[in-house]
Amino acid sequence: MNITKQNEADKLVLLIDGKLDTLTAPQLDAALREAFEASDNVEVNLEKLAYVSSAGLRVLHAAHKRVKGKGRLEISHANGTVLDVFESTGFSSYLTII
Amino acid sequence: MKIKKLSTVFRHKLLKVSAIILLCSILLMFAAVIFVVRLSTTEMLKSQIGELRDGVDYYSEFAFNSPNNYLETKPDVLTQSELDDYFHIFLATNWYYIEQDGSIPFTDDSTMRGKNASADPELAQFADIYSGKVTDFDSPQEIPSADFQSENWKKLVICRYGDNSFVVLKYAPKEYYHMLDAVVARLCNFESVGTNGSNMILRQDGVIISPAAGVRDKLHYASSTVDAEMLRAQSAENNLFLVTLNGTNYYAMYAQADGYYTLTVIPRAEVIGSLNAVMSITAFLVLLLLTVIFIRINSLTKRLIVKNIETVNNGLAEITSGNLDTEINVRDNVEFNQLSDGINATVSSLKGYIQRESERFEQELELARSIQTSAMPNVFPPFPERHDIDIFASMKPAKQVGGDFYDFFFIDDAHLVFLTADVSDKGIPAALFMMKAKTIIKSLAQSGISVENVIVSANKILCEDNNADMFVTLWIGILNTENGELSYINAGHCKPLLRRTDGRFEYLPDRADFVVACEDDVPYHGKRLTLKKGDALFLYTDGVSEAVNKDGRLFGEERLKDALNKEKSATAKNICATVSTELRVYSQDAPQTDDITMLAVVYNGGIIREKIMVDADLSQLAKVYAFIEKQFAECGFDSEALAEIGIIADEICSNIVLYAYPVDKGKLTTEFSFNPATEEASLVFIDNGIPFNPLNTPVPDFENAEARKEGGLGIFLVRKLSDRLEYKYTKTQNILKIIKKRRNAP
Repeated sequence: MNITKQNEADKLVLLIDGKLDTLTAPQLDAALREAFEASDNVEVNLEKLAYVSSAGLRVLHAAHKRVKGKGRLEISHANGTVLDVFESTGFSSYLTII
Repeated sequence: MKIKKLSTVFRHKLLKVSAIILLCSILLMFAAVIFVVRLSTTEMLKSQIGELRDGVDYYSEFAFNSPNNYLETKPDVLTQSELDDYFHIFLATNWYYIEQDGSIPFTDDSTMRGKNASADPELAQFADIYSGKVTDFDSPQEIPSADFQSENWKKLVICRYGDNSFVVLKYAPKEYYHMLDAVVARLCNFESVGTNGSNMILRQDGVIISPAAGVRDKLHYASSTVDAEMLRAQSAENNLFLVTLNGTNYYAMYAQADGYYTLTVIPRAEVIGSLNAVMSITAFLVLLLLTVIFIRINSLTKRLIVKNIETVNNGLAEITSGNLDTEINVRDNVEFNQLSDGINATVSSLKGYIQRESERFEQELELARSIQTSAMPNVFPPFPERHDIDIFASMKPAKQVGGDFYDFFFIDDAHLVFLTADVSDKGIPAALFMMKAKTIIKSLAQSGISVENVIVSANKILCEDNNADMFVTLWIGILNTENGELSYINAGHCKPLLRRTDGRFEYLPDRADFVVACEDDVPYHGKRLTLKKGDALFLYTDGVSEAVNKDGRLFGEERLKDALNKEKSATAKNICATVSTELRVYSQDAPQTDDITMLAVVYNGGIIREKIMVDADLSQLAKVYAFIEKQFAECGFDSEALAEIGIIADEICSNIVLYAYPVDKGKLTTEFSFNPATEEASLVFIDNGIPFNPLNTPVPDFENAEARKEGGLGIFLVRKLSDRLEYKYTKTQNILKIIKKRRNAP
């Protein structure tokens, strides 16, 4: 999995490319922590994500809880299997998915 | 016996008849000529004889009338001596002076002197003349012909002498001839009959009196005497007879003429000769006439009969050869008109009958064909739910129903039986036999026995009551679709072609066993080979390899192989289509002589089994994930499915790695298998860790996602994304099996 950072006007965008599973979840966790130190608003772009497993969901869940009231985590461009997973697990109503 | 042409027979007969007519006419003419010759010669000679006799009679009359004239005056004194002197001049043999009462006072016959005439029979006959009862009489009496022959005859001359007396003169032959010979001698001197014939006068003793010796010598026969007896022996008087004189044949005729024979002869050659020429000319004319008639009749026959019969025969030959549209039109005469009409009507009604029969037969054949066709699997693809096997077959019968057949069917989920076969005949009998063979083979094969047993048993059954002496060649294979193992038997059939995944079609080199349904105890040898994924097998009957083009050349095995390898067709249908196209191009308009049957099987692979075993450690999971992704990708799962598989794998593997081995690290084994038949992939995860049945995990509470335990989430996703989940714990192993079905076509 590759994570590319992009600074935009009011937020930091993390472009995730690859698979988000047990093996790569810690990598995203670290990236998110780092991102929220730099910015309050972080957008995770999942356009190029092949799939996400529960380990990935847990990382996003944890980050969401961490920044609650301090900043904002947005999930964007979730599609296909990824969106399906978000929706079937109820994460779509819980996380901010744009 | 050799049968001749009508014209020849007719000519021979005609020639025979003509020859007979010619012969008869010549014979008839010959007979007619003989008859005419005889008739005319008779007439000619009769007139000659008549004249001659008249001549003799005339001279005789003249000579013997003279005493009558001389004795008109009678001397007054009658004495013997005076009368002797007086009558001496008549040179008679005897003379008699007879009175009215028949007394003979004077005579030179002393025996009769002074006697009565009645004492002498010769004199007695004139009694009525002496007595004066008969006054009118001939003086010289004719010599009676009967007496003439005897030489005892006398020429009698009776003369009135004075008023009441008569003188009778008797001339014996000697005196008679003495009197007459010299007179008669001249009669024939100057006359000839025809050119070389002549008249003759002979004395009773055969001496020729006339013509005279000198004249006679000039005639071409030189005989001086003719035997009167011989003449008399030849024939009666006035009859024509043939006589040979000095080696020459003469027609001759004789008659008696007052003491002489008159004879007339003419050379036969002279009479016949002139007629011979006439006859030759006539014969030639007859011949000419017959020839003309012969030629005319011959040509008429030829024109009126033979030619017409030939026309009729040619028409009939054409009809016999199958062209029932031929019409015979010989309208020269009523008979041939009737014949033509009769034949045309017969052929026409025959044609109608054949038409009706053939329509009925066509219908029955069509029905038989549809039964036969429906007996063979003919819905393609036959197993749409299976992707491990691609099979296509076609049968194109040469006649309406053929003896070829193919068949394929699954005897269970894994075993496919397929075959092509050829019954050694065509038509309905072959089709019936084919149905029997097909049914027997199918029922035997469905019992699950080996291919050897199927064919050995089928052979035994088919041999029983095989009265038709038919046999079947076949190639049958039983394919285990799970592992590609193919067992097969070739019973006298065409060698199939096998194409390996990366190769070209090549003939299977095995030697064929004996045909089926011929000998009930021949052994059959099953062969084995293993098909790999992508391998293709092409079966056919000899209708393919022995299809002919319009020059009569066979399509042949080499051309078939080239056709199959022309392009690498992936599907069974395309393989068959390629061969069909090549066959059509090759044979063009040449008629199909045999059933064309082909069957192609493409094996898309059996069950794939792969596995990987790693230490149950996070560092090893990447390997496992890569393995799983690779297997699924190779089995044709799409990216969406791969994503779902990725999630499933991650959830389960991470769970095992993190929780299965709380104390000692163990192993994680992942087994993959894919069954193309069902399109189901199974992933089995095995660990020796603590027993854990994920199926017992409760469904997470999504209402309060924030508050719930996260542990159930992974299992939830696994449940959601897999088609089936099975768990079991055996001894020390947690075995979790996940079934994932392939949704997309490969």
